Amino acid sequence: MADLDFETQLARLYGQAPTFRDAELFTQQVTQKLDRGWALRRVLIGATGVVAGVAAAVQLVGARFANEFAEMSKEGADQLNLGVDKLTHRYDQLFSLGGSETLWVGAALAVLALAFAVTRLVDEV
Amino acid sequence: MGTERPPTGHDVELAALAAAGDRQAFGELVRRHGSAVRGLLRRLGADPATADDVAQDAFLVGYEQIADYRGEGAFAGWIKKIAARLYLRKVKREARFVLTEVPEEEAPAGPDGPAARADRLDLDEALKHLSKAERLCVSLCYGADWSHAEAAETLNIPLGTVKSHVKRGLDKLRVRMASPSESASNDSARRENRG
Repeated sequence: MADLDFETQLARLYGQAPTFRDAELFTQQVTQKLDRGWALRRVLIGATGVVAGVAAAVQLVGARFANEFAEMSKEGADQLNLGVDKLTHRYDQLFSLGGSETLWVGAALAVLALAFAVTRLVDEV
Repeated sequence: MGTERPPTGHDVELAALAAAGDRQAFGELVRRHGSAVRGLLRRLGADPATADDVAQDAFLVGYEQIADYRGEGAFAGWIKKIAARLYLRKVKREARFVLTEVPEEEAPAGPDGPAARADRLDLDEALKHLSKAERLCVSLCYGADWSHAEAAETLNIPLGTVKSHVKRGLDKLRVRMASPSESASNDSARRENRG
């Protein structure tokens, strides 16, 4: 047998895949691992999104009410009622959309994060 | 996610779908080429359990890198290369055997008896008669389509050593896998010489 012929035959034999009885099981195992990895990745991305969204919302809302919170801690418990009144007043003002952009943005982000989380959860279940 | 449908089409199309996130399409590629990859790993010298583990890892890596496959060559060749690379990494990590060693052996003996003749065209059977290094080098070059230089570089051994392993391996395989007619003519020639 000429060398080249033999090498061609050898390459051809290597190209012929053996038959495995558990070929279907092997395929299932690989696809299950892929699905598991993908699900884990989505949960992680979702969780990261929720945490980031909530953090951003808290930051925005916190920044908006920072002065009020500082005042409250300074003035003490006896001024609490006054502070609450003031806060309530500011809160009412904020929802008039005039100077309340940050609060709205924060609330929108929180809603988005929550919606994202719920969607992911429903998708996974 | 996507609707249930049997994925069809050429490997390149399925790979493109998989690159777009279609895991069903990739599952079809696994179905089509899983046995070839498992077979190659066993021919490289992996035991069945290791071969299956490495084959699974190869497909997972393949899925991650599927965007790199642009259909220039056969998908089977592409995934086999990944599998071979993973297996070699494992072999080197476990340092199972010394690849640089080229044992001086007697000329490979031919098969004898009817049972052996039945196996002459059985590549897997013939591979069992090669040393681990010979088997690895031959299977890398002929099964995973690596060049000698690629094998030498990946195995981190001299090119000449790879060539020696391949040559010795081919010589042994040639004898083991000689076709019955060829073997018969060799036998008669031998008998004539003796007479």
